Amino acid sequence: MDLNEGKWLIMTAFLFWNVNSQPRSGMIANLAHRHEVDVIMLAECSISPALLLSELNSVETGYHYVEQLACEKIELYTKFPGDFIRPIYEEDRLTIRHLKLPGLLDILLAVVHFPSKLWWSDHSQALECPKLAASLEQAENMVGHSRTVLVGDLNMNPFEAGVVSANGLHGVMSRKIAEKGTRIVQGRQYQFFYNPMWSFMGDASPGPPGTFFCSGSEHVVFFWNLFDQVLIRPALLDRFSNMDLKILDSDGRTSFLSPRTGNPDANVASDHLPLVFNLGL
Amino acid sequence: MTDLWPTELATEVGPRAPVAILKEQAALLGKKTENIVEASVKSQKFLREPERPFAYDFYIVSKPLDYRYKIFSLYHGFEPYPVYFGLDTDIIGELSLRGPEDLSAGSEEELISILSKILQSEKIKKVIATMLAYAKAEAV
Repeated sequence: MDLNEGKWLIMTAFLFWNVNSQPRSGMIANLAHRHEVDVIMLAECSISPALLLSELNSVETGYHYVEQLACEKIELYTKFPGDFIRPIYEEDRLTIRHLKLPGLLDILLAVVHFPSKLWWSDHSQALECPKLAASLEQAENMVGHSRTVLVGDLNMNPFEAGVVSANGLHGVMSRKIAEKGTRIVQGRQYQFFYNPMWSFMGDASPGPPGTFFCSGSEHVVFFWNLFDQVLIRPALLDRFSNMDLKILDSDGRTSFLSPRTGNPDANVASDHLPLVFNLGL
Repeated sequence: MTDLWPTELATEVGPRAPVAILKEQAALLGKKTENIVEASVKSQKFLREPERPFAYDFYIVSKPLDYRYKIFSLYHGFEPYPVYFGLDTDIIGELSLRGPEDLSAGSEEELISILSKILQSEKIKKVIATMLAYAKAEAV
């Protein structure tokens, strides 16, 4: 596919799913095969690598389990050896991988499972985001570029302070604004992320109106949330098409939504819906 | 002009700065691993909070692998104690630490005690062993 005029790119497909510690190896494999996924990123996954690999490689061999180092909260499976997606920076809930496929553009793939609203207030989450941003910058300084994609379960919506604020993730809804690169606040320059997840809010967007459903009896309840997100640095925007980013509500055989409520069915799949996206490398 | 400052300005008041203890321990890891895996302490200037203006991150680093892992962050106010840890939740679980009181130290002795448990945890041993194995495999 030609995303850049005159330049042919190899499309690399990514899948992220918080599987809520459910045994969904079959569904993960179905998604991987259906969407020809090259990089599978899983949170809250307690499936044994041997079992998931056998499912992934049941149709055709090619998937590898990427050995974890220090971050044990994210599982990675790839269609290439783990040497091409080495970790360069890790914390408890974050793994930043340097994806360097032969002959292709190298990028940083940061996968995170942020603390949940079950245990942390919105305010605490917002206070933690600058630390995540600093970790991303540290990794970018290590490799000498900012071709970073951040993906994962942020447990925050795109409009929340930690995701939006300049000293947090600085995720903006407009590609045109993100393409400016940085913004200065109080004398300090902050890099943007483009946050395409804004476009998925509500019923007028393609697919489900969010990735996580939660109702409540208090005044402010969003019901559908976009906790699972993909954020793209400006340096990678010419390699990313919004058309290739999807929230999935089925693996092609089984719906992930309850037929009665239309909400994610944790008994069938997970309480989160998966994301799939492509990057032209 | 009259000099109104104190005639004696002490450079060290009271207990050792917690960061000094962290740096001492960080310096020791490289010696045990032929500098394949080292530890480092980094001051986090722009992550300081008003009530905790001193913030440090403690890392395990492997230069051959070009990799670093942040084990914990340490914060304190203008007084060196109490200090507060932001720690890997795997280690919190392993050490059965519960609540803010378990993740803080009110004295140098308490800091050393908690630090000892963290650095000798199974998680840290596993990470260091894995990093050593990967680095040696790459060197072959």
